[in-house]
Amino acid sequence: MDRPASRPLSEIAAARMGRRAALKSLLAGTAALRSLLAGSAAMAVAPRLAGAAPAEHDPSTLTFAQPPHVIADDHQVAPGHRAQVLIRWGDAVAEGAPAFDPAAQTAAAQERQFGYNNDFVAFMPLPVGSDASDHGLLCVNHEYTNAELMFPGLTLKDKLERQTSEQVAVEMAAHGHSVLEIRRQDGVWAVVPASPFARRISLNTAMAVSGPAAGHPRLRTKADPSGRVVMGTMNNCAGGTTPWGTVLIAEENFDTYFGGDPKKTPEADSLARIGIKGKSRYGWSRFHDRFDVEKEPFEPNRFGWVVEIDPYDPTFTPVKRTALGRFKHEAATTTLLPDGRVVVYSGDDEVFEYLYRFVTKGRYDPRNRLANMGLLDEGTLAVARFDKDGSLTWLPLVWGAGPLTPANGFGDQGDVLIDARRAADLLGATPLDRPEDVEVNPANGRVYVMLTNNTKRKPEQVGGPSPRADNRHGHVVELSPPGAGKGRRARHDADRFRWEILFLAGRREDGATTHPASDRFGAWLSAPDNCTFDNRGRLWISSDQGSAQRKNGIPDGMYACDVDGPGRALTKFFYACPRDAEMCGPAFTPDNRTLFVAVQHPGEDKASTFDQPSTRWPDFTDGMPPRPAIVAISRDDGQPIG
Amino acid sequence: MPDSASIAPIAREADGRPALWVCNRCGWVYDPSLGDPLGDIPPGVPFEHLHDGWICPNCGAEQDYFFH
Ligand SMILES: [Zn+2]
Repeated sequence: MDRPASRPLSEIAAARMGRRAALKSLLAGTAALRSLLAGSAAMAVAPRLAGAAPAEHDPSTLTFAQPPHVIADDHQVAPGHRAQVLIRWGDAVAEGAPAFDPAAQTAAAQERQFGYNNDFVAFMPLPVGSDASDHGLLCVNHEYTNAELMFPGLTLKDKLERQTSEQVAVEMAAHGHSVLEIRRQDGVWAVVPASPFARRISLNTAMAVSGPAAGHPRLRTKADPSGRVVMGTMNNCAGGTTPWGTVLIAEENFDTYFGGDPKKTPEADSLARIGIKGKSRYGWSRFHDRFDVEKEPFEPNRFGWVVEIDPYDPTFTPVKRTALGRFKHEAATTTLLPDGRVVVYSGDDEVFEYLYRFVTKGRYDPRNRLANMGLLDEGTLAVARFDKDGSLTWLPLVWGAGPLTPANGFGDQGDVLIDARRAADLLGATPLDRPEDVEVNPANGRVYVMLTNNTKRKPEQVGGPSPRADNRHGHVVELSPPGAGKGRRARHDADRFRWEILFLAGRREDGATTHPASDRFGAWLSAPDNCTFDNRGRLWISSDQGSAQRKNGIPDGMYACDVDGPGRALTKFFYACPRDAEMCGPAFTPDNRTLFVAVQHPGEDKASTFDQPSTRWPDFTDGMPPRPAIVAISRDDGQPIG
Repeated sequence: MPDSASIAPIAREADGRPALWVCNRCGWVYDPSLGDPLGDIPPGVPFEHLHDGWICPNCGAEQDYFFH
């Protein structure tokens, strides 16, 4: 399991910090560059002291004033903006949903109510294909559940033993996805009641499996001998949207749901590689055999995929697109090539895992929406190798080529996709510091990869795109396909890209390489997780520090920076989550006048429970636990944000 | 030689082996039979005997976030 980084420290080229970033550091004194070169050893050196003249003017194009950069029970937004809580866990989604009663929850009610731990958010305009910004569908993932915060009487230590079958059923219903119809009137957003589009997707929603692994013997179970029909989706972290107006939701930490001893199954090696060790974070295997790998060793192979949903058709059967590979998909971001083929980027969110890309064989047909529904079933999946010379090479995961043969246990392309991690290991992919969201900047055609953190990277594993040992604060890597800088003419299908580091996050004493003027005009951040771009190509980053939030003393929330021009990598703080929450799902309306964000797991702390939570955001009512919720942010004057 | 950690009772699975512990933040599992290669913990160390500074190798959560 100890897979070292591909490049030793001695091979780091200063140039790989990036031409522009290196220049900035030189302007700020050379300390940041030196600390980068020396890894963690020199990180006590602060770049500001080396004779740099403090910036007199704010070079950023972002003009909002920052809210207090402190952790609080309530959320905070930049002055001159309002933050409206649009929908909370338990609020009505589907017709007939009862009012939320936290003391009397049922799975039947939860199947019609907004799920738990909202993550990815997509705003899909109505009508389909328009750029309407006052009316649309809000598509929201519900990643996971916290039983000790959802139900009375449970604690972290006893929840597995004490949870009831009905509570487990509520948890399964609280996973998945919600589709809501929403409308903006006089600057205020509202959910349209009893909308024909309203839909909840959960662990109980039947889904089709398509692509090369559909029907594979390793996807068959007692309940589904065809290997083509899976009940539900889970741990849907981030996602993406397609040019034809569907939503992609990514199955991430699916390993955490399975009990039973994996060593007693025919899938032992595969289950080990994905992290299944015989103990679940959930009590589901007590009540449902399919979550016990000794009883259903292939059930875990039916998760870890990207699922496509058509939010405009509430009867659409969600489809697991196996051609995109199986791993802990943080997200799935698409971009259109000039010739109509479609590219999907996806990070595998775990320490020392990889970055993947899929290129479709077929072409997008803008005149026939439904003709595009099979596009993601055929194409080439590849994984990234980063080299010290600043190049990135995409290595195809194609059965029969190179090491991906029966001699190495790959009987067909289905095996390659099911065990994409193992295939990528053999191809020599570059292990990264938790690759999370990957997004394409529509303004410059470059690709931005959020690398959240990796406290386990050792000094001898430092190098290339991972320049920092014990990387607690994470960083952002910028990829340039050939032709980048010319918007849509960037060749995202090319075999080789260039890469550089946009910035290392953290405080100066941690070796941060954000723009030096961030210290005066901006704010520091830690653990970049999800991101999006505004219409001017500026990067908006949501953060997830996890339990380090208290240690760092800053809230998770929304940050933004320029990626081009004199304000490049000058990070500013825009919105603070309430205590012990992480920020997810940033999504702008097409007019950029609203930014939707997802406040996930407010009050998730080691001692926090339903009965005694660390915050009761957003209701602050006795007896009401904290509730994950979607927040709509807009400017008081109604102008575009930023 | 024995410190407070090494004399603490060790939680066990039904079959008697030292318990597997789960990170509530990210679901990562500490299996004593595997240790934590990324954190230089060799196989055979029960969770209760991990040094105070040990944190979840995947998400960085402290030991208080783990349950079994
Ligand atoms: Zn963890």
